[in-house]
Amino acid sequence: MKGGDATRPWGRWLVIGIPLVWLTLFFLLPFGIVLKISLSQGALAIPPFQPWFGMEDQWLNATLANFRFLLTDNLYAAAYLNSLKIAAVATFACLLMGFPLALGIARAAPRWQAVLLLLVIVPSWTSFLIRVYAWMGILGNTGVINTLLLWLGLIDQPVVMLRTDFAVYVGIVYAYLPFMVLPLYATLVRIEPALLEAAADLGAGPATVFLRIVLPLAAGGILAGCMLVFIPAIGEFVIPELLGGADTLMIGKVLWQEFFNNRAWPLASAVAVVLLGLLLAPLWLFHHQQARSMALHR
Amino acid sequence: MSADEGFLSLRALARSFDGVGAVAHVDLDVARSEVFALLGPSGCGKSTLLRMLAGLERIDAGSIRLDGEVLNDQPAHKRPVNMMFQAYALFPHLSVADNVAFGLRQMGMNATRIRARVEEMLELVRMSDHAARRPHQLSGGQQQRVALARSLAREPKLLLLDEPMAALDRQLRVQMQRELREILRSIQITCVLVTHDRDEAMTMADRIGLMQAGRLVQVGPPEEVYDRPRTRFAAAFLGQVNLLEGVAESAERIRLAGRLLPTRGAVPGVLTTVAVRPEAIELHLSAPAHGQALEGTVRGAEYMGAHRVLEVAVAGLPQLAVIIAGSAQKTPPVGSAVWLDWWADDAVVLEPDT
Repeated sequence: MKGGDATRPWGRWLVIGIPLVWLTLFFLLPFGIVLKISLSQGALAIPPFQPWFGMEDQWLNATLANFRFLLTDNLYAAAYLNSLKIAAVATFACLLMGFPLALGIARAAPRWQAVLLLLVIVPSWTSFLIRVYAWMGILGNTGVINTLLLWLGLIDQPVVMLRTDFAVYVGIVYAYLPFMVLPLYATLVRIEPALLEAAADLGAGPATVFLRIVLPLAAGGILAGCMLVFIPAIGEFVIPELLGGADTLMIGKVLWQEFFNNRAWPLASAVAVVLLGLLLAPLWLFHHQQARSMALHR
Repeated sequence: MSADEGFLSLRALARSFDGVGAVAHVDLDVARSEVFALLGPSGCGKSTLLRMLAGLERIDAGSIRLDGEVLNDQPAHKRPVNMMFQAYALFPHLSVADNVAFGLRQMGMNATRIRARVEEMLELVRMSDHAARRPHQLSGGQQQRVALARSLAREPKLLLLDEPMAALDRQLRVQMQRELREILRSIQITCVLVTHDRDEAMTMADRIGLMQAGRLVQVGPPEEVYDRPRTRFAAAFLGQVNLLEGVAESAERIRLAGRLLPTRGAVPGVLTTVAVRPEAIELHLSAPAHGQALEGTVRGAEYMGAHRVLEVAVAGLPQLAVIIAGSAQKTPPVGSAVWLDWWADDAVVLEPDT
């Protein structure tokens, strides 16, 4: 008895402790470093910022100058807002496409569900970068779509799609659709068919059944899917870099440029810290809803 | 036939899945305000039949007529029929009151009338104190009451109950059966219920329709179906029964184990099966004067509280079950000789199973 009691906490600490150590070492600590750099002054040095505890007169070199700079140049605000807009629109597009897809899979015969889910996931087995490059081949002026349309005689000139915001949307929706479909499927498949029948039995037509029963019961999945698409889409760098035009302004691109092109590590860090701050609100909302739906389902 | 007798009328109703008939050629009339139980083993087609009434299952052939109106092509949400689902199917995201109001909202009723009707319904099922609760906060019996209130709220012409007691434990079942029966009687609603539990069918229903392999094999009041079963299946499904086979000597006599025992309506000279309920058998501790009782030996006794079931072996017949009431003193000991006979009405001549 005593031995059992003594060993159980050990196992528990191990289970909680390993991810805790992992997150501390590889997430919290690096973030602390980023936060520290964002409060440092830039310098022509390696690494390109001044240490907090300089040899000179100041005893602490911490500064909010980088954050203040983000406010002075409109570029940053515009990049943040544009990222929010692109992520929001892409998330909504994912929802519009993902919902019928998830519903279709959830309603399919059980032996087909696993196959259909696999088809949603299979593209992710190829490198993300290669799949984005593939879209360059599809959307380009000599790409698959334009070649086909020209051959059919529907257009005389190639339609410019690559290096536009449109291409960025296509890329994000394509890349993140599985993250929308999977949580949606998980909630939709749990809705008891008897609930839909009961609603119909009580006089609700198909549209009402969908709006009053299916949508509310899928709310958790909708929110989860939207968060899983929205949050990474905001900071997306590869897709706007490869598919977007020079004028496609996204904060991920700005961050990259500050860090690598301008070697402004403190400013880049400040950009990253603010981005994280912006994401805290939706994350909190998501967490709140998860806790609520868990309480609802016991 | 008066209009009330054929309030709900099914004609040649049929439905098959992948070529297999789930419901085959069902003819049935249910009277206004009648509680009718479809009784049968699982897979007999009773649930399919109920779902066809609700509009949740397609009709392959035949017709459903309710109060003079053909329902065949009406979708579920347009039928004046409401169903209480087996696991109740309460909407988990809505409160008790909103669950009950759901059907009323679809009727375009105004908010004041909806509130009044919801209150009335919750009072009927004694759930007024729980109006704001969510379904998962309720016990099984409470959930059933809410489901009943929800299905009665729209004042359907026909109420359907799908295995109403299946989700409740035994103790609660008896109590809820009584409550449900009283509510159904008090509001005079026409009701078709589906069950595999013969006790439930017998206590709840005015008439029982016994189903086997998609067909109605016998329809009648509980006493009639129990006392005068038509087939072996009907006899065995309604309760414990002794099925005895012998050649009929006359319309009133059947030869069993060398004796002539009373029955009614047998065809002379034909090998006949009679059904005798264990409680209909009279047990004698000495040979009766008429000399035609079956002579047997007690092989065992099962104590059931209010009564005992004796197992009696009679040479040339399968072992018989005999129910006797009373105290242990009156019970013949195992191994003792006993004589069995019965009244002519209690040995029911069966038709061959179809």
